Amino acid sequence: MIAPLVARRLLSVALLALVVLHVAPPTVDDPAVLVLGWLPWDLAYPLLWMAAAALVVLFMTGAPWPDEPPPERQPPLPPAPPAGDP
Amino acid sequence: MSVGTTLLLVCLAYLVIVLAIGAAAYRRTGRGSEAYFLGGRTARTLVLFMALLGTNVTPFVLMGIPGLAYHHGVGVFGLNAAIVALGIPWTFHAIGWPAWKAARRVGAITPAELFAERLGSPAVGVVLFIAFVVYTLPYLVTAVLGVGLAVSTLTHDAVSLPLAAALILVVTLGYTALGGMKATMWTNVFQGSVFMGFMVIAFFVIADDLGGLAAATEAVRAHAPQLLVKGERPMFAPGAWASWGLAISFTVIAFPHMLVRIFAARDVTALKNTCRLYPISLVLLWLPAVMFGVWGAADLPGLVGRESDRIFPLMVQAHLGPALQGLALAGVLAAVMSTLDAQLLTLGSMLSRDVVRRLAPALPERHEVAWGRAFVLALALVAYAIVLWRPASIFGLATFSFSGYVMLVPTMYGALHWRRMSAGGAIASILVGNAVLLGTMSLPAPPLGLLPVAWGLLAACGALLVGSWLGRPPAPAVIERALGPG
Repeated sequence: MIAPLVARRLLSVALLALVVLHVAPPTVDDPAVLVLGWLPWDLAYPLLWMAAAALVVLFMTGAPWPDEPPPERQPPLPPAPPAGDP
Repeated sequence: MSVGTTLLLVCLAYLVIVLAIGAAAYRRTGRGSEAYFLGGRTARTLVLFMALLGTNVTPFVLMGIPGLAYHHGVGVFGLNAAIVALGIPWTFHAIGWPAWKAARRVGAITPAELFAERLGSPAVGVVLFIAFVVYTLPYLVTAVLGVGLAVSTLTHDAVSLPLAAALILVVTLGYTALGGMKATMWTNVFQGSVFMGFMVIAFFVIADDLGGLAAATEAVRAHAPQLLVKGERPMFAPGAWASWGLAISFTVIAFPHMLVRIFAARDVTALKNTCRLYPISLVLLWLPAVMFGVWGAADLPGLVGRESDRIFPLMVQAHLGPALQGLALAGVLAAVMSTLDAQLLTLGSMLSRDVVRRLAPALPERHEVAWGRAFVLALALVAYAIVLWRPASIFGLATFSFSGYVMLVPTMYGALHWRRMSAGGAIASILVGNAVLLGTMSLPAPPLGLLPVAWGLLAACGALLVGSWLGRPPAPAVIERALGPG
């Protein structure tokens, strides 16, 4: 189990890496290059990138994002202020 | 049975199911503002995910993106779909989750109300309300315009654009006004299933009709090879690419109708599961949307300018049978209604909570709801007038809205993570960000190749920091009430 602080740092690194890979994608300026016989490179690459992003999101919803008890097991909410207060 | 009759029957069946779900939700909606506007904050994973996706997906995806891909090719997918698969879940985590917790603590029902309470300033709520209305209206217009175009194309103008737009507004107003949040979220589950199911089925059926995936791509390579590469188009230049990625990633959490749905989540598990499902659903929706446009450029060439917004219904008409054409129409209706209902409900709730309640604190809750309903009706009439005017393409209208919403993100993020932030900083950020955005939009070419949204965001961040340092933060009790102990 990774500590939340370490997990958050790992998440930041993964996010940064994905942003760099999105902003500066490898390009193949040739319409003849097809992945699986029908996917142009400029479509296949973002699909691969999305697969990586899905894994990072999966990680994000784990250790970096602590669970909380459901509402019925949380302390009661503070009373609302009188209407009209800021 | 004729194509027209089949289309009509499928659409009628769809509308009957939606109204039945709305009526069932109406019977289960409790009394009071929280029950009406937030469904009692009880949404679990399936309902929350479908409500957020349904609200997020509009004719911008089903009509605008095929229209854009028709002219600019497969690069449109990387420009729009890829980055949001990361950006939307991250903003749900970084802004949506702390906003959900703070909204529960202060009992806020609308985003404007939450940030007004957090910063101890009703003025922040009013400024946010105005910004939300200004940027939601054109976005709302894209939804109604999209359905008008789809219906008029698929029915060969038997049902005109103005008539289709009026019908969609009337039906959506009906179930939204009656059933509130619960009705809109329940119907969104059905509506999301309809448009997502249709896109996946249509992708394979249309590809099959074109001779298979490889043959469809080969036809594009023969007739419009430039669409199979990003190329040197200005919209794919590094500066524009990066700044549009920023805009489209950050804008969604700033949609008031999205944030309100996050407030309706039952617990953090529902929100986490929604984040996990989001990237997969985006592939299922965006890949077909882009390919319909690219395939369409080879299959149905000759559409000029914003006429390409019709390529989705034209491809459906050319390659699908009557039943699937009906399902396509139902899919567009579903995408439109699932967004329109959320937008109308949220703007109505903001008027009643952030304006009427401030001006008339003694007003009973049922009158608050009545004000919200009247405002929603007025907004629908304004939206209808803009649809008839049709000032820009769907993508053009959405770009304006998306850029404007991004100017609110520094305020939202700062208020939830920075205790020193002041109301003055929030108002300065929103005003300066919007002024710079509009100023750079009016330039013939924005500086350094970055889009206006990037300059506006930079200015909004700077104004937030300067305004907060110069101003005084709210009293510690106000901050603690929203954010918990420091």
